[in-house]
Amino acid sequence: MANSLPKHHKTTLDNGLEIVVIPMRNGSGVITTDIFYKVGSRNEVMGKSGIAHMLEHLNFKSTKNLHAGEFDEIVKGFGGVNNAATSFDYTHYFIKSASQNLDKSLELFAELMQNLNLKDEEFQPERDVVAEERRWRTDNNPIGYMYFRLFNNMYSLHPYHWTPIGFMDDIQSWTIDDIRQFHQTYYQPQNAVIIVAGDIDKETVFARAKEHFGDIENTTAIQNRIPQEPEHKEHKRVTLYKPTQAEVIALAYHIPNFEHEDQVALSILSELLTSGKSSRLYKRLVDEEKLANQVYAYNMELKDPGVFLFMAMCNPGVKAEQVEEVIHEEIEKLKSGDVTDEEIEKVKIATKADFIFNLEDSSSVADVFGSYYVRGNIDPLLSYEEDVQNITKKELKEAAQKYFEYPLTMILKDEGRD
Amino acid sequence: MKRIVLILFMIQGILMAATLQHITVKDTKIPLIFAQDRTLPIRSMQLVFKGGGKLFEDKPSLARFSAKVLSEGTKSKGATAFARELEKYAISLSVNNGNETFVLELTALKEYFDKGLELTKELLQDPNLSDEAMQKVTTNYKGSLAQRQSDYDYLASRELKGLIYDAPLDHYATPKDIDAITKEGVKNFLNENLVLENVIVLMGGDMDTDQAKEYAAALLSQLQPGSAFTIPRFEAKDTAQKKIQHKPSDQAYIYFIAPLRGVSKEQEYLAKVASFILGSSGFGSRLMEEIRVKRGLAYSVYSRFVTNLSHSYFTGHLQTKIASADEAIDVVEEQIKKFVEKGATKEELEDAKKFLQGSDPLRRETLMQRISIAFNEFYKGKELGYSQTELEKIQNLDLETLNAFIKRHDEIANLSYSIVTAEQK
Repeated sequence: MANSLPKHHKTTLDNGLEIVVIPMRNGSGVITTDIFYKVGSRNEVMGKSGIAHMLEHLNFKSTKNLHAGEFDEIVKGFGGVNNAATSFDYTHYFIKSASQNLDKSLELFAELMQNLNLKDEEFQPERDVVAEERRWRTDNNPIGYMYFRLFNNMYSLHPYHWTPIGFMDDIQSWTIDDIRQFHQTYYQPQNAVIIVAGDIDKETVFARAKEHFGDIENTTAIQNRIPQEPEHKEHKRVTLYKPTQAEVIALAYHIPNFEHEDQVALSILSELLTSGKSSRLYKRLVDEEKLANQVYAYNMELKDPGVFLFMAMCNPGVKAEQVEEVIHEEIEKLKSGDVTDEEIEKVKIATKADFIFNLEDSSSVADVFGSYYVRGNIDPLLSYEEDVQNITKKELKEAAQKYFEYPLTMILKDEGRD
Repeated sequence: MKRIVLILFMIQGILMAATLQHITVKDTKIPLIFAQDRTLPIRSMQLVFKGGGKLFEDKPSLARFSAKVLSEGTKSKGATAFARELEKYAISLSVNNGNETFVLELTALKEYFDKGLELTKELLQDPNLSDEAMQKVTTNYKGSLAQRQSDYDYLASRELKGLIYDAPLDHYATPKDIDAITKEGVKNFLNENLVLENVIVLMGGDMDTDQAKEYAAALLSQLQPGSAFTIPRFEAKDTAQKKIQHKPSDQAYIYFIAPLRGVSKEQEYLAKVASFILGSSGFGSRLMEEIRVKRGLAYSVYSRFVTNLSHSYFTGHLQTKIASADEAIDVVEEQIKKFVEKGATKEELEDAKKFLQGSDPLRRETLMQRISIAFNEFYKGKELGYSQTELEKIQNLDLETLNAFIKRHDEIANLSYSIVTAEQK
């Protein structure tokens, strides 16, 4: 199979914890140790939104054997850097360090999994930090706000109705018991995947992981009924008003989940539309008609059915509707099958190059593999390069016809103007 | 067997090291920093032009504008056709400028690097100085400035240097600057700055030294000799000021700056350690602990000591809800005052040593990281490999020396502020 990815190795412990190693053999002496939990805002319920992200913050507080902040002290002490992120579908924590610190990194993650204290006095100030994060990234940031409102409007029932930060009112009203219950449900070995990428061999990782995690027991069965979004066949328009000197437009379409075979065609369509200066929308909107200074289109590949999103930043004085018209014209061309061999060839080479450039750095490698394993299926990643090589114009045309039909159109305009 | 040899080399530090070479083009001796790395089929090249940064431009925003024009491909092919050729082979060719330098960067898969070089050559011979490209850059540059008017971090940070420096450091791009730029201006900028005397070549990846030299010589033959640029030094003023902009905001964006004087290149390691302890190292740094961890005032807070060739300063920032702004400023002031008066603790110094030593491999993980370390050493007049010497100095640093340095730099407590916040009702 044509594949630029490095070989990877996987084992599963008796308690269900999956361990994946991607040895990079580059002599860098560096690894990324990344633990992924199969929990994100997707697992939250309305009224308690944002808990997965709150819990991510609280993982750096005290445990049975570590005082609050000691995790960071230890990691810094061996020269590691650590961080964490919460998305719709998963939460992950990673430590990038010299290879010899693998054992300590795993020991720390095992401690967090089984011994987190979750004290109210640690939770309360951290809730304020999260509220500040929401103000900064969402309420006070026009694009962040638009993104939040887009998901509010795209989904009504499914928890993708909110982005992982959650609603401000929910942030202000969780209790420590809500958090504890959430932790008990989702932070178990059977709900996690450890990914180690970098300058290390698989035997070492498997042995060390087994030692630190092998005896951790699962505490409860995971009930995971996520309400599924009903099918929408509707055109929806939303205008948001915020102080802005230039309008912004987003167009969003419902698409299937990350495993669906049409994802490859959708990824290629996104490349044709906005990847690089010779891409269709960039060429028209930025180069020829000078209506926008930035434009992107991409398929968000999520565990449950996702979104194909177009977004463009208009130039001052340009009406978002002018940009909208151009986007629709370009979509129509794709639907009529107007794609050249040269364009497809370009995507094939770009895909190969993207894979190779991502292989330099252990954290991007861990990220790529982890994001598939945590969603429960690595196959779309492994076959991606080959699938791109085999794509046909017919498949691209059909995907455009099938999915680009009922958009949510969202426009950000200046307050008081229309 | 090959693997064992590689490991041996690594331990001796040979695999990682970048070397300084020279090539001569049109009688000008040009430095070339080269690092070989055959683990992936990638080749990369950067041309860094000293003096091509925004601090030395004749007209405001000219350096950035010129970089944008060079991103528009060649005049004969036009922006889209030129981009199509690059993208056909997944070649990345970007042009940018910093405060002091102007940079062309070419990266490609090994098999397409020659093509990339050919296109870069075309670009240098025939930049797209057409009316259409000028107009497009003008519209898009102004468009992106307009978008940034609702980015309050940008609005607060752009005023910062003007609080303690005069021209040219007090300036930021405005639509008026952009309208005033002419084709002639861009042409002169490129002719004066993209010259052999001021170029530093960085090359790396899957090739050997001779190939690197060959590539560099072929490309540089497109350039002409010019006059060598010497980076001048700008000194900060002592006046502390506060500049407040009112916007419809839920948060106060608090940016601060202070002078940092007389840090020689031999003392930069001390600034690095001080910076780490006070505010550049995230959790565990004084500011993060006091502002975020203890009081929940902000999502993040950072401060750092910046030592450029042309100017040095101390700066930092945080965002907090409007009602907490005064408290956050008080905490920042109190912490910085305490830091310059009492210095660091023994434990903090030991922690910094452990981190800076232990994280060294992380700073050298990728080819580009290794090349940029070597470039920074060279650019600042240090010998290649000096960052290792610096690490040793840090390991041998005693608390007395560090605290004497911190005390000597009590100018960092003379803070000026640029704040974006909501109007009090």
